[in-house]
Amino acid sequence: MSDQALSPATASHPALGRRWPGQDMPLLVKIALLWLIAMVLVAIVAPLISPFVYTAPNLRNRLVPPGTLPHILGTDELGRDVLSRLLISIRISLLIAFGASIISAVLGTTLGFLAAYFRGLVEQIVLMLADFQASMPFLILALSVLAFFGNSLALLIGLMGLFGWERYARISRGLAISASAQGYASACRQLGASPIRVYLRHILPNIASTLIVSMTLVFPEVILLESGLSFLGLGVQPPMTSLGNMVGYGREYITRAPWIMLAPALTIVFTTLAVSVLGDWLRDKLDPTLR
Amino acid sequence: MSEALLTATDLSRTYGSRRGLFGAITQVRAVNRVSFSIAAGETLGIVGESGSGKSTMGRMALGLEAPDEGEVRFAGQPMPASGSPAWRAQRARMQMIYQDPLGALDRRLPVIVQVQEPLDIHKIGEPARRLPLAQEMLARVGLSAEQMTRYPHELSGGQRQRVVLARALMTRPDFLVCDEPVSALDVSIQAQVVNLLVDLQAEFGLAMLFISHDLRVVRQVSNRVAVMYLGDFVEEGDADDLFAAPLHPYTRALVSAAPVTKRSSGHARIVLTGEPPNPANRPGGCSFHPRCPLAIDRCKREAPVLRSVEQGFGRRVACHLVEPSSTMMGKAA
Repeated sequence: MSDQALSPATASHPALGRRWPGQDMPLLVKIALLWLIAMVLVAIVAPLISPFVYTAPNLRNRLVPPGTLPHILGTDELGRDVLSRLLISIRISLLIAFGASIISAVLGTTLGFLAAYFRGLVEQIVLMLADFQASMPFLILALSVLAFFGNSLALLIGLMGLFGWERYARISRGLAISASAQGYASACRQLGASPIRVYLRHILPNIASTLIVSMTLVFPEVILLESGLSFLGLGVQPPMTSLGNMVGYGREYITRAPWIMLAPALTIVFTTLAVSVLGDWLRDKLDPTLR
Repeated sequence: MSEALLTATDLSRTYGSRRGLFGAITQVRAVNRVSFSIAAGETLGIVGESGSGKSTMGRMALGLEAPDEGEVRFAGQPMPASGSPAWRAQRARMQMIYQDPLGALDRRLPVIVQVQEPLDIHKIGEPARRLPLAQEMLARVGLSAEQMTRYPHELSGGQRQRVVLARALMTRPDFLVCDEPVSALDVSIQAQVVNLLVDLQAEFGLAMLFISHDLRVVRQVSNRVAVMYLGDFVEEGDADDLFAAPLHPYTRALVSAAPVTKRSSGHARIVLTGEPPNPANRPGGCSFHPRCPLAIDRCKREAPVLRSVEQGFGRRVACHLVEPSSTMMGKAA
């Protein structure tokens, strides 16, 4: 490589030619990634690929065990096709989990940055809210909100978005303060950069790995929380279905027809596991100093 | 001086520090009524031991920290409040070099992107022209094209400091504060970086405030030198004059402690006794008197003021024993 070739034509912008991780992906991570991609694809095309209408009862074929064609995963207590219900459930649950995780990450990080930037009163208020959130079991908060405001999918996603924000807020506030007190952020401020530039272009990428790990911890919890709420009958309401909803209603038949409950339960387990595995791997990969 | 680029008048900065959870707040006077001015293209070196208020003064000169008393004027204008749009715009004219270059660089961005950033921030030049300009500057400070696309942790300490230097010079500033710029580097690299700094200063016509505890480096870089002790200027003057004939007892002790290759027989080392006092608990009178080998009764009662003496141009000393017209103390060194 020629050392002194400095013409603009030969030197490509390094940010564009950034090495993208991928070659050295461990098998487990590959499986996790494939699983998640499959889940997202299923969520997108669920209505098109589901063999039956997920709400259509068929009382002659109640509690058909899996493997009996045309019901690959069997039917439930009303003779509804479990596979069709599972596909739709994945769609709804992923929508809630992704939507809620993103809302809570954005909300928490923004509040954390505001606290770090303004300090003083703003910081005290944010920390007080975070303490309030952390000290109260979220399920109780969720129950009371749903009991008062009824429920709709949008409300449920918004409510779940409040779950876990205090972790992002605390992490981002702490890291932003330590970064601004010394090092690259204060150097960048001294260059004349606006606070928005300092926070979004420098601090955020630097703390992203921590936030992503935190997100992979919150994501499974959101899925489980939604499942829990649906199980209690306060989450997704029938005839709409979700993974937790299926587990909840399938429990009555756990001895006679365990497949009603097992299919969504295994989906929850694998999806949350896949997110954790992928997040763990991403954290290492996103840090250029560990490459 | 009318052509002064930066003037600081009676700068003071006091920090409150609390001892323990319920302890009373003690006032630490980091910088105590210090005045100086720097002309365009001139370097003022600041020497002093740890805790003497050197860095605080550098931060106040840049407006990063507001002085409690006194005022900094840059190019005739008072310093805008830190973080205000006017202050941010002014950063294009005044920059800083840090002691720890790795800490001052963003680990997640290739160095070329960071060197280009000041142009993006201040919207200087067309966007397409900024990358070649950054490459030019990095080549000027001695980085190869291949090193430019690396991340900070992939470079050596000297290379990192070159990157920081290149980034600071991108906006063609008039004034640079160097806070211990070579202290974290190997001795072999120090000389290279110092030489580069001197070259660049001449090339860009920079005024510099050069903060260091290394007398050799300060002497090499500076036109004028000020010696700080516990937040006070104890002596100020032309760099060569001051090191050749230090007047203040503290300066003399410092100069005698600097390693020289050939020590003449009459050049006895002055060893100061005691520790540098806690800035929170300044001695009364002259703050140096508990450690001063020449202290007289008056030093305990009365703090000396910085005043001009005859030796050398613009020489100022804060010591009762150095008479304004005396030559007695000068010849001792």
